Amino acid sequence: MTESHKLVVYYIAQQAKTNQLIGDNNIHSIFNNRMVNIVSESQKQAVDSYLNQQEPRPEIIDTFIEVPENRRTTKWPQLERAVDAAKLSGALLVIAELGTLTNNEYFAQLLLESSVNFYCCDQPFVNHTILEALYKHAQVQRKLHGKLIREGLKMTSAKSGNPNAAEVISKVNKPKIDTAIVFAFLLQPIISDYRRKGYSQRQMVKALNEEGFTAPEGGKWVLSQLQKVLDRVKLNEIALQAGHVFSELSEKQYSYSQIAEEFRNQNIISLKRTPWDEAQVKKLEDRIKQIQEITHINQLVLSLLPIVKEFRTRNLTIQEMLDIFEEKNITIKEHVA
Amino acid sequence: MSQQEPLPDHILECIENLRNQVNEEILEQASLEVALESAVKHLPVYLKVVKSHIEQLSRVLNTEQHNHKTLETADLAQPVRQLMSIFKELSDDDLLTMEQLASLSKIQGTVVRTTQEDHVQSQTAPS
Repeated sequence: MTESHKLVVYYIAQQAKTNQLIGDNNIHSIFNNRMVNIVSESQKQAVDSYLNQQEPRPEIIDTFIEVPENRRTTKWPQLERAVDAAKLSGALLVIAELGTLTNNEYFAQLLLESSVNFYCCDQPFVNHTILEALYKHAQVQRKLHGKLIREGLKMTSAKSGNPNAAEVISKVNKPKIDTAIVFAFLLQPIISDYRRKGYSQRQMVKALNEEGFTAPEGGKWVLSQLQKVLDRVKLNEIALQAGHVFSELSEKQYSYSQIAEEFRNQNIISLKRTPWDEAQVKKLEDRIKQIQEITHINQLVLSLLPIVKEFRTRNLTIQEMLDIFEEKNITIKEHVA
Repeated sequence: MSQQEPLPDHILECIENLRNQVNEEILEQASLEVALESAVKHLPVYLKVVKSHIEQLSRVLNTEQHNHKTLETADLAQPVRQLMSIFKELSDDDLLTMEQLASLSKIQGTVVRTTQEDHVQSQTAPS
């Protein structure tokens, strides 16, 4: 049997409760409410139909069933395994249903970077070139969508509705944003080593995956993910290096454009390939503030932890703890000006 | 341990530090309420994403590829070093207590704010 006659089949399943499956028949099962993975009949038929068209009939060497958290997830562990299996055996990866997954950059990039041969039963015309085009189109659409949302938020803030919409959203997302900044700090020593070795971004992705340092939310790295983290690493580095210069100039009441000019004069590396401008200085200021806040909250937790432990040993109630803080002149509540 | 027993010096020092940090006005408002709210929202996300990666970092740095560095010799940034110290100490009970402190201080904050706003309004209202 030639290698092209070997297949690795990949299904996308949905989770359902067993009682949902038998619901209409009114049967009470001991498996009630147990979660099971359901591969749709259409996917099974699509794969069968593909197999029946092949002469000689290929051999399925492995089957993988993915149950994605949602369609926008960054984790595709079964796809990673399927790609590895196909690569290892030189088999064709048969994707039962591609659907709209070309919009998911992690899914699409995993396939594109693997260079395995694949066949999508529901969209047989999709090959590497078309997948890459669809993926890039989705990227452009996402950017446009993001721009529309930002403009919409500004309109909402300016006109009616919630005047603080943008502010509220950024507050809700703050823990995630701050975690991304800390993650970039965490990756920094590894990236420094890679840079010293002259690795390209693609080589960095490969090395991270080989060394077993997973992507922020687990799973393998893809290039676009690393590029976002590299931007954060760079911004963090410049914020630490140029932070004191920025503070000095701010104290002297320099405007953003004056600070940009000063940075250019001092040959401080800019955030982008273009020289320092107002927008870059503003971005740097935001990052300096974010790092300051992260450090501040962490320091506060470090001070609070021994106190909390001691208070618990003394069996104090939460109210008694707050009373002690108040007694020690710690401002507990914000005051109206 | 008796509730009335005086607090040990190192705890008093921590309370002093905490007071200074709360008063630093780095956050949008200088109050324990705001600081606690921020801390209890951040810690679960840090635990989920950062903690496991610190373990991975330690393992990866200790390879030949990275000259057998350790977390201590890797020149990590301050936020990461702080979180390493937090993770060493933080228990589920600590997090729960902090969450309860955040909730209660928020409730008290709302009560006080409402009372103060009522007071301001009554002062400025035309007689």
